[in-house]
Amino acid sequence: MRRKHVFTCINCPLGCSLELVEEGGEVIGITGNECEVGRRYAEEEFRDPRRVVTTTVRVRKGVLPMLPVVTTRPIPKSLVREAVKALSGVEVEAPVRDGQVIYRDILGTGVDVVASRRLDRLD
Amino acid sequence: MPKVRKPDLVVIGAGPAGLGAALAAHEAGLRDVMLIERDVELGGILPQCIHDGFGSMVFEETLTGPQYAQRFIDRVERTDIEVKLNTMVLDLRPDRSLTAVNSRDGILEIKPRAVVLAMGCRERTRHQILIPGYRPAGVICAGAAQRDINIEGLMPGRRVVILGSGDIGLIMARRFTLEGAEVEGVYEIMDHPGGLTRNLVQCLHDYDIPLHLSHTVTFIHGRKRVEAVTVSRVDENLKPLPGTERLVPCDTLVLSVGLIPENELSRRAGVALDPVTGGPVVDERMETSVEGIFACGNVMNVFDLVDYVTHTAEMAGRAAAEYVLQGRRRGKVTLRVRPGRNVRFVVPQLLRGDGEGAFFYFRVRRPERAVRARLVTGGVPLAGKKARMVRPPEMVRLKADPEMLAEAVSRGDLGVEVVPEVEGAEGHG
Amino acid sequence: MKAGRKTRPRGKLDPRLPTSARAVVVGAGIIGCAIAREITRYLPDVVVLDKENDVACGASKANNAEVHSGIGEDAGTLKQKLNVRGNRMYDEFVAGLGVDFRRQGLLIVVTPRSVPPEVAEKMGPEELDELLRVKIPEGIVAYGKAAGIEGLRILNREEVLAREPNVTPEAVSGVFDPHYGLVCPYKLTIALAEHAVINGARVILNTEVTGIRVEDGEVRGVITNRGEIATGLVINAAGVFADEVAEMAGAGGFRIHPRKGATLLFDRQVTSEYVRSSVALFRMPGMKKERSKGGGAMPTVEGNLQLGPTAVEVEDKYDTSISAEEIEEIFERFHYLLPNFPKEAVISAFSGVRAPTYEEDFVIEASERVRGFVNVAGIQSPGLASAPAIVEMVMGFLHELGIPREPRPDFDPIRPTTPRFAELDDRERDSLIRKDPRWGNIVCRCEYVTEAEVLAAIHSLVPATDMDGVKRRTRTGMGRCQGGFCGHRVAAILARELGIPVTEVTKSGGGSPLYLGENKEFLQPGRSGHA
Repeated sequence: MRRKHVFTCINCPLGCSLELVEEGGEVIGITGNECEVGRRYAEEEFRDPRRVVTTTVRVRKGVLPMLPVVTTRPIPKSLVREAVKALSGVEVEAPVRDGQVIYRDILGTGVDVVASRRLDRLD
Repeated sequence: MPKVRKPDLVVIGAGPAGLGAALAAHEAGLRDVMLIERDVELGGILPQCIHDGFGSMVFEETLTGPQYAQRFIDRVERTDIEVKLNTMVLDLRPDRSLTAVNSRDGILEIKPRAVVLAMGCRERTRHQILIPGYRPAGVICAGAAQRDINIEGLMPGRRVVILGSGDIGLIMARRFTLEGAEVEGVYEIMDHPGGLTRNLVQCLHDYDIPLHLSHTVTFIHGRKRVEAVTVSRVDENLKPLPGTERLVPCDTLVLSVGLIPENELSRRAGVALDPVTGGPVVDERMETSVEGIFACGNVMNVFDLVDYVTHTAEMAGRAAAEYVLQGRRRGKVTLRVRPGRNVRFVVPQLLRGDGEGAFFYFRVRRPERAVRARLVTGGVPLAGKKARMVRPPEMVRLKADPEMLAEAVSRGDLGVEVVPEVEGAEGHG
Repeated sequence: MKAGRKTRPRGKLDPRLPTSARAVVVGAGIIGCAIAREITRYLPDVVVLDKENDVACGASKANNAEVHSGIGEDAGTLKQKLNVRGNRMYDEFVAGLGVDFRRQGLLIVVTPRSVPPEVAEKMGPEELDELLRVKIPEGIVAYGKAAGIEGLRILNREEVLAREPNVTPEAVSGVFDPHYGLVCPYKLTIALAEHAVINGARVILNTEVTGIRVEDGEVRGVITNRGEIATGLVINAAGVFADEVAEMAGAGGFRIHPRKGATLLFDRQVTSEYVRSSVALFRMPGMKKERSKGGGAMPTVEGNLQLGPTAVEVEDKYDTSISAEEIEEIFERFHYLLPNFPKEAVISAFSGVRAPTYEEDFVIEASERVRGFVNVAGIQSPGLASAPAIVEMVMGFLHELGIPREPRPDFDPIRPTTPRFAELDDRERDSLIRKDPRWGNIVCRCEYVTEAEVLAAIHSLVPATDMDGVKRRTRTGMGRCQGGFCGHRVAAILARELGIPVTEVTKSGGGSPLYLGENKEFLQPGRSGHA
């Protein structure tokens, strides 16, 4: 059965409305794009949409109570909320180095979560 | 007695603009640079902008806000730039002298040879847009909510309505949702969204948060804490349409209704301000109407890309250093840069024509497809670039080399305009 | 020996209800606190009760700060009599309190709009001009004289425009009232409350009066939601609720019909050049649709310009909402008087509920039916201006009811105040910082309020216990950014000083928390919080 999916392209201010038609997971056609980048974007968003995840984790003994963290690579979009939830229980102790690994292999994606900044200890 | 200090340069504000300007001045050879910041750490607004998307031009990678700031903070710490945190500038005068205060030094009288204004901007508030209703706890601007969540570790709300679809509002829609709050919807008074498409997709669509265009909040309910808001559709004049009211229960109203360059100190110093940008009128070296006072970043006009903030900061810092080290005195203003077709404003607003090239930043008035954005003089195109689409939320940058500016000066006219791109036409620039 | 200072613990009001008091004042607004303060000149055992989380939470914090001369009141009313007298007593009233009172003067402007159209239509142009240029201003001066107000000055058109160049060019003449003054009404209320506390009074908040015990036609006690206070003297200064409190005692006979009023506040940097003193449009009597004054453009003592107030009858005594219609009305009204006014310079809006009776006059009486019960009700405008005279009148009743007539020798005339960083010069500022570094920590950047001042507000005699309390005492959050910068800083200081989690900090007491949880709490229910 043929299905239609709509995506808004984010690659340039045009924001083309992209229509992707697929059947059983096989892409039949893509329309609405004004360029090749848009076509590839529609395919990616259909097959394997991924997002960089940013959130905060709690810090002990730091100059600030929260540490911003970021995934080193985008992870599957469907796992974002769960990833943030998994990180919500994490607590680290200062000092923290910029880029320090805070959580390895989030939800089995093979992607690490690292500190987005340096955070000094409160002395 | 208050202490008196006489550095070569004072940079007011240590966000991306101030950090960039201080570093550029230092790199240009200025050694006695003081960087004053009222907050507890460097970075300005960046430490709370934990999302990514920063630096694609400057660093050719997309960083988070804190990562972007950290790059500059690390560099500053390797220099002898004097950093004063928790320090507020109380007054700035036309002779460039200023008064600052902090707990450790007390009152500081500072008489620098040059000043760079990098104070950024503040948020437009509920009363400035005159939302009727009660005045309970739970009405908060998006940036303040962002600080609460990302820096202080506190949740300012649990059932949230967001007014304004600019980038800050969209980012916070996602942030609240990921932290377990419920965002009922984003309401936007215009008939088009205010932020980047990327944010519409990754902050609203991804989370099924509805965006209601042509809507605004017309009443805030709740005496002690927000209990609900009334939203209404608006007409083409942005006036609420009677009969379209809907009550939305919530405990928090988040406002993302505009940023205002923070120019109180600029006013005190007698710096001429541009009513359209809300910031100082500057020339191509980022110098204001007061000699020796330069401006960059959001205090000059609100930018959408931090990369542009960094660029203007570098220009301002370098110019300030040249002013101090070479005693560079500027020539008289030769031109007022003219915003032309579909251009709302341009910075810099003035051209002195000192023999070097320049960059021009501008915003369009309305979205337009298939255009050429270009500099023109007396009707003759100088430099430009094609764009599939231009939109008001996205600033455009144009570069002019020295020859182009010389031509503009000799013709006595320099304009920035956006014109339909004719297929196949080569153009002159 | 100065009573109160050594024995009263600073910074935490004793919440315990005393079992008895010589006098109980119901309502900690400007009138209640002023009366309490005056009583403490004679004896210390006064209790002031209020159901809100701070003093001045009713109309006392939501009026326009005007100390009128009395020129606007109807002849023969108690309002007029007490207004004229109160205005004269004001300098003495505020002495020793550390509160700013300025006789800035009021410019009453006469334009063709001062005359109702149906009257103007019947006149020839010369007659109308004579009316506007001469008869009306002379009439105002004569009216003032009859009320005991001297010194009103007639201005011609040139003089009006020289004083206030931004006033409508339709101005024909004006009258300048030099007695008119401005005072911050909530700061004054707080100061009066503190002055009373220094001299032995107790201010007990979050306590609602639910009944008055009367036996044999005499007051015996006040019943509250937290217990009972035995007393023979009750002063009913309960604002919009004064009719209800009077009914509890059987000493009523008047009804309060609430009437709200909204005011818009503007940035002082922009408006200080626009208007010099207060400006109002004169309107011939009978033109007003409602009985409250027509309002005007009034700077506050701080210099922020106010436009307003509106006057809207409401059912709900708590209805301090501001409607879109009121906002529009304000702009329309003042667009005429100040044509090029920078409307976009608005920074805030507030609203309060007035407490008028149907007779539209003050009800100040020692009840004949219930001995020991004194009504001080129906205090709408000019309540602020009349306050000293109201107190004088009430004291007359109280002395007859047994309050001694000899002042106490140990009455402390001075209420201690904290300096304001914003008003000091740099040398004074530097000197304070050297003694206490917290004077160098700016918390509110718009109004230049330091941590030291916030702490003083939280530890003062009538301390701030919520964000609005700090705001009223220090001005945090009253500037252009409306708390965007200082909000979380003040909340953190309140939490620290009150020893509570920051999630328990409120805007204005119970039911108004700033934060609804800590981070991650909504994702991990049950988790108690970070270290």
